[in-house]
Amino acid sequence: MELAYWNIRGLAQPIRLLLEYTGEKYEDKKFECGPAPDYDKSCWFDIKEKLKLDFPNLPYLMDGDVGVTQSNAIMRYIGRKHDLLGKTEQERVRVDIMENQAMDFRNGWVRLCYNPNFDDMKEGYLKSVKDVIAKFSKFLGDRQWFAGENLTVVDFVMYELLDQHKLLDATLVEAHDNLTKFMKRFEELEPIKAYMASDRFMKGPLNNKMAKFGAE
Amino acid sequence: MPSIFGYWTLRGLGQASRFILEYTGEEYQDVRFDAINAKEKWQEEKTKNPHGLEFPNLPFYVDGDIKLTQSAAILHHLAKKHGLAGANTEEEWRRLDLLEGVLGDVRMTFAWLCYGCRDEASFSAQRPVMRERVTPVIKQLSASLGSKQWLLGDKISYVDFLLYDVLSNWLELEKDLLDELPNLQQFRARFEALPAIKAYMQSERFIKWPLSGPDAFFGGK
Ligand SMILES: N[C@@H](CCC(=O)N[C@@H](CS)C(=O)NCC(=O)O)C(=O)O
Ligand SMILES: N[C@@H](CCC(=O)N[C@@H](CS)C(=O)NCC(=O)O)C(=O)O
Repeated sequence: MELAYWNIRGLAQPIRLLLEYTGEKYEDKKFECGPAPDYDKSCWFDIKEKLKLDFPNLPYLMDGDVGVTQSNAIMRYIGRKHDLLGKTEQERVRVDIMENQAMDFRNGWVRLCYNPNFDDMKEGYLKSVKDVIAKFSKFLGDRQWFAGENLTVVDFVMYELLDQHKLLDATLVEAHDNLTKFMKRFEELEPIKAYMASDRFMKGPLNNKMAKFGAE
Repeated sequence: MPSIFGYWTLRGLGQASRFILEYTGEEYQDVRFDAINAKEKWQEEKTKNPHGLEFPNLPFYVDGDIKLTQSAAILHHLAKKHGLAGANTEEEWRRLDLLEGVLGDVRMTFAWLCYGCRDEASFSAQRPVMRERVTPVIKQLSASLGSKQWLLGDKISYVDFLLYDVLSNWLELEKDLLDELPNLQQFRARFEALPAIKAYMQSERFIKWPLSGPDAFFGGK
């Protein structure tokens, strides 16, 4: 397979983690935008329309003849192949809820990171995100994974978002024992552990160069 | 017991689900929170959380033991319940997931423009930028529909409800959006001609306006 995205963690990191976990062979293709002030993106726009994709975008995944865009659609595509979308109806519903709840969480986070007034907004964000994270902690409860007993695609998304928030303020996650344990459990999955120790693993940047946080 | 669907007195993220509830004839209680004159009613209910929602939000949907928020999760549930999620093949799932994401982006572009602009000057400046951003995607949607009746083919599915709704929002602003895309125009006419939809759209239950919340510069008032 080929996964293509910007040279950042962004929307692709959960997909990378998922590909590693499932042992799929993939090429991790990375586009790099130019420096400030233009942030030239022609390396992508020059080829965007030439790809065999109905709705060209980044990230995209090519699996033989099959091209998939939309990060959640990519997660579900890989998830279906490896039975990681929940094994009971209840787990599947929890995946549906979490997929979108995580997207709201991410949207708020990205809005902060890319905001020119990051410094002024940070305080207010920290306050409101505490409640958001507390709700996730409650939703997880004493389950192993967010859907229930079984690992699903939303765990990959949540791990990544929580890990990014630790870089803003580690106490956000430390305040919740079950979230801390969840992250540890995730990091100890064999293929994830191996990936994180390898030089394929990207520690940063989280965001593209125009971001105020996570751009290095 | 009828299910309960809760949302503001506007179209917004609730409309696609309302269309499905009406189309399928599901018996439901349409709980509406006044977005203009009584916002605090929802705040009260949110705090009391009588249905025990895990992430209290609007829209919400309660069907016996099933308690949902997140519009997409509600749509998935309704689609599974009423057979509006294709034929359960890998290819159809892929298509549904993809279109759901794309239509979410098209909606988001509209929301950025309408909620992100505070005054006429910034709205007029951003409008062509967003139009330019959405136009190629609308063309891709037209190509993706092709000469089919519905996005998956002969059988209607939940993404058709999303497509109709998202196009309706954009058309309120950009009347000529579909001028060169007759298949999407026909798609809209076909959708409106579905007997249950037609009856609904002529009834008092149907909210024609506003599209968005009162904070929106366009579509909110
Ligand atoms: N809803 C889409 C959003 C994709 C998106 O916004 N991609 C950004 C990077 S995060 C991009 O640069 N896309 C390239 C383009 O618009 O051509 C998804 O989840 O994949
Ligand atoms: N991602 C959520 C977003 C929900 C949302 O933003 N709801 C807005 C109205 S469109 C709201 O006013 N929610 C009430 C609240 O936040 O308490 C969904 O798709 O349902």
